[in-house]
Amino acid sequence: MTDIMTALALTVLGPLSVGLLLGVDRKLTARMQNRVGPPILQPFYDLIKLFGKERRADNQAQISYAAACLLLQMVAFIIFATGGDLLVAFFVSGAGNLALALGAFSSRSAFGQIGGQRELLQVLAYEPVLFLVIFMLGWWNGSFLSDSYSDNLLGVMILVLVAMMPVVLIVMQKSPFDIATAHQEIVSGVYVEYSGTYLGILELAHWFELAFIFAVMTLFYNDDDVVLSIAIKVAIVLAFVFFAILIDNSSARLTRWDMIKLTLLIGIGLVSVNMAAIWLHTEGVF
Amino acid sequence: MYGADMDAGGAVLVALVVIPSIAAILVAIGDREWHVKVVVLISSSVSIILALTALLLMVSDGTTFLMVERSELGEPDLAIVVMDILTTFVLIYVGYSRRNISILLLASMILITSIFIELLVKQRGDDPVLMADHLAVIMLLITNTVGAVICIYALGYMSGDRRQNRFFAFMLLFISAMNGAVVSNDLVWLFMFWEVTTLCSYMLISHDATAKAYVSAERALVYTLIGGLALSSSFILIAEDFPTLEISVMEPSMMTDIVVVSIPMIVIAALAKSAQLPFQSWLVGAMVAPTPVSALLHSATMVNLGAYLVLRFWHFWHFYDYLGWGLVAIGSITFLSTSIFALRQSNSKRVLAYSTIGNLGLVFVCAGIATEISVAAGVLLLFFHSIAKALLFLAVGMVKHTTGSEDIEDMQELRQRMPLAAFSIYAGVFLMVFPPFGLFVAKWMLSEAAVAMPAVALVLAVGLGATTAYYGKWLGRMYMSPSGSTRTPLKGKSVGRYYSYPILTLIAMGVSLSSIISLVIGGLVDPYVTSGAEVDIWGVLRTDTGAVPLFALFIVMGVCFVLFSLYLAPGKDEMDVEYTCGEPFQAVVGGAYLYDERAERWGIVISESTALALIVLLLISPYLDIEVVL
Repeated sequence: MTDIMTALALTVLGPLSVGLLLGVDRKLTARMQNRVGPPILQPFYDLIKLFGKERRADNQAQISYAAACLLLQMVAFIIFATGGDLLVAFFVSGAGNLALALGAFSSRSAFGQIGGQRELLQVLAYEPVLFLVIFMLGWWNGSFLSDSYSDNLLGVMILVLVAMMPVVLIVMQKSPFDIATAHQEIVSGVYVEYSGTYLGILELAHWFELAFIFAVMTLFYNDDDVVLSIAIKVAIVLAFVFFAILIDNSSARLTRWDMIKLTLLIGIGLVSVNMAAIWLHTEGVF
Repeated sequence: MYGADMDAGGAVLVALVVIPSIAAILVAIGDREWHVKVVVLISSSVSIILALTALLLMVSDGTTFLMVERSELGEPDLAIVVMDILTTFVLIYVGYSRRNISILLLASMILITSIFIELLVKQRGDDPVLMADHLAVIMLLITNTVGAVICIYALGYMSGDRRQNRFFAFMLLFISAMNGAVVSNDLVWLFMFWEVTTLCSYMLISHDATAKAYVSAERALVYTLIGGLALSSSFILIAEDFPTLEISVMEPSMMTDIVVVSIPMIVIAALAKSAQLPFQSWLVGAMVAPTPVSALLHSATMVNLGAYLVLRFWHFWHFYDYLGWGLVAIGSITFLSTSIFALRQSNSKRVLAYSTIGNLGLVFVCAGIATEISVAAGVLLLFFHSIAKALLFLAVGMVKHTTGSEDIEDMQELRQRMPLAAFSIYAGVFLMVFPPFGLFVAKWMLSEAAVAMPAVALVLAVGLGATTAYYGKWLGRMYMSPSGSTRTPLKGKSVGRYYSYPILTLIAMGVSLSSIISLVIGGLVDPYVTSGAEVDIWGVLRTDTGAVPLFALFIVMGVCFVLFSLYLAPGKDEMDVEYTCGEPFQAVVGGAYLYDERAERWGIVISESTALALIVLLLISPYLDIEVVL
C-alpha cells in the first residue's frame, strides 16, 4: 500500500490536473480553430459557478444516481491512488457510468433517454478496451495493484497503450463519435436534465473518471529516477490529449454503430496482436 | 466397523432427499387446494431448515464431511436401480405417447446402458454413498432456500390452476432429485437423480399442455437426454475399467487410458444440462413454461447441475489441460454470443435466459481454467447468480401476471404502475452487475484468474460490457413514460403476500449475503478449493495478483451513498419538469436493438457450429495424443 500522504496527495492532485488538462484542451482547440479561447483555469471557474447555482431537479432517483456516479468514480480513483487493485477500480468506475446512464433515463425526457442509450453504447464501445488494457498491465506485471509497477512497459506494450486512443476520444467526448448539430442535446444527452449543483457533481465525477483513465496510462512508464518518471508520465498523457484534439479537429464524424465497431476492432485488435507477440516471444518463437 | 446408526449429518442428507419426495407424493394425492398449500409450505420450510442445519454441522466442524455409509441404509442400491429403470421407462413412455422417435430412441439407449452399468459394477464395499463437502453444502443451500422461496411464490402464481397437484408434485420432486444428485457419492446414484431432474423438467415445461409447450418440452428432453446418454455411456467405461464408482476418491492420476476416453462425454453431459452452446436453445425455448418453472430451472436446480459437475471434477481439468481448454473455449463462446444475443431481445424472459446461459458459461470458464482462484470464482458466481436470477424471474412473473406482458418495451412507467415489481427488477439487476454485490466479486476474481489463460480476457471484456448494456437498457425502459411528461404519483395495486414475501426474502438474501461475502468465501468457498483467496480481518480479499477491500467497499457504497443522496435530495420547491431542449413536440424513444434479425440468425448459426466443432474436437482429443501448451 502506498503511504497515506502520497495517497492523499494523489487523490487531490488527480482531479485537479484533469481540470487543468481540460483547460488546456479548450485553449488548444480554440487555437486550432483560430479563436482566442477561454483562460486555462476556465473549467475550475465553471465548476465553482455550478456549485453556487440554485438546485433544480426532475425527480429524486435522478439525484441518487448522480450521487452514486460521483461516489463510484471517486472510489475508483481512490482505489488507484491508494495502491489498490486496478480491476476493482475499473469495475467500480464502470458502475459509475451505468449510474450516469440510469440517471439520464430516470429524467423521463426524450433527450435524457437518447443520452442514456448513447452512454450505454459508449460503455459497450470503450469499456472492453479499457478492461483489456488493464488486464494486459496486470498480466505482464504479475499484479494488478497500482503501486506494484516499476518497469518501463512502453517497449513491450506499445500497441496496448495505443489502443487507449479511442478510449480517450470517447471519454473526452471528442468528435469522431459526435453529432455536430446537436452536441448539447444528443452528445451531452446524459447531462440534459441536470443543472446547477447536480450538474457540478456529474462534472466532478467526469473529472475523476478521466483521472483514473489517465492514471492507468501513466503506469506504462516507470523509472528509478522520480523526476524523469513523472516527466514521461505527464508527456504520455499530454501526447494523448494532443492527438485527441488533433483528431477532433481534422476528422469526419461517425455514427454510434460505427463507433462501437471501430473502437472494438482497433482496441481489441491492437491488444490481441500485442498479447500474441508477447506470448510468442516468451515461447521463444522470436 | 461401521455401525448401522446414522449420525446427525447423515440423517440431514437423507432427509433432504426423502422429505421433499414424500411431500411430492402427498401433494399428488391431495384433493383440496389447501392440502397442496399446507404440504408445500411445510416441505419448503423443512428444506430450508435442513439445508441450514447441514451448513451449521459443516461449519461447526470444518474438517469432516457429512456422509452416509452404504450399510446405514440397508440395501439401498437395489432401490436406486429400480428407480433408475422406472424413470427411464417413464421417459420411454413419454417418447411413445408423444410419438417422438428421438426421445424414444435416446431413452431406450439409456435403458440399455443403465443395465450394462449394473452388470459391470463390481461388488461394492461399505463406502459412503451420500456425502456432502463444502461445494455440496453450497449447492444444497441454493437448491433448498431459493427453491423453497420459488415454491411459495408459485402458490400464489399457480392458484386456480387446475393441474396444481401435478405441478407442485414435480416441483418438490425436482428439489428432492437435485439434493440427491449433489450429495451422491456414487456415480450410479448420481445418474439416477440426474435422470429424475430430466423427467421433472420435461413435466414442468409441458405443464400448460399447449402445442407450443409440448414442442419446447420435447426439445428440452431431447437435448438433456443426449447429455444423459453421454453420461451413462461414460459410466460404462468407468464401471468396466476402474476400481471404484466413488466420486470422492476419484483422482485424475488413477485414470486408465480407457477411462480417460470417457471423460469428454461427462463434459458433454454437463454442457447439455447447463444449456451451453450448442445446446442452448432448449433453455431459451423453455420460457413457455409458467414463470416459477423458469425460475426453478434457471436458479435453484437443473442448469446448476451441469455447472456443479464441472466444478466437482475441476482437478481433472487441471490434470488434462486439453479438457480444461475445451471447457474454457465452449464457455467463452457461450458467454460472448449469449451476451450479444441478449442485446437484441425485447422479451424480458429471453434476456434473462441468455443471461443465465452466459453466466453458466462463465462458470464453465472458471472450471476450465482450473486454478484455485478461478474455481473459487466459479462457485461464488453460481451461488450469487442463483439468488439474483430467481429474484429477476419472480419479479418478471409478477409483471406478466398483472399486466399480461413480459416485453421490456411494455414495461415503461413500471415504476409508477408496479413499484414493488420495478424495485425488485432494479434490485436483481444491481445484484447482477453492481459493486459491491456478490457477482461483482465473482467476476473480479475470474478476471484476475484469467491471467492463467490471457485469451479469456478478450471474451470477458466484450461480454461484460454487453451485459452492462443490455441490463442498463432494460432498467432505463422502466423509467420511460409513454406520453412523455404525465406524472402520476407512485401507486400500485397490492400484490398479495405470495408475491411480496418471496421477492423481499430474495432481495434480503442477496444484499445480506453480499455484505458477509468474506464469510461466505472464507467458510464455504475456500475450503472446497483448499485455498484460493485469503480474506483478512479487515475484510480485504487477497489473491496472488490483487486485492479487493470487501468491507470498505460495502460500507462506502452503502452508508456514504445513503448519506450523500439524502444530503443532495431536492426539496419540494426545487422540483421541476423535464427540459425538452426547446422542442414543441413530445418524442417517444424506444429501446436500441443494435442489429437486425438476419445478423442474429447468422450469429446463432456461427456460434452453434463453432461450439459443435469444439465438442467434436473434445471427443476425439484423447485419441489425438497432442500436447496442448498455452
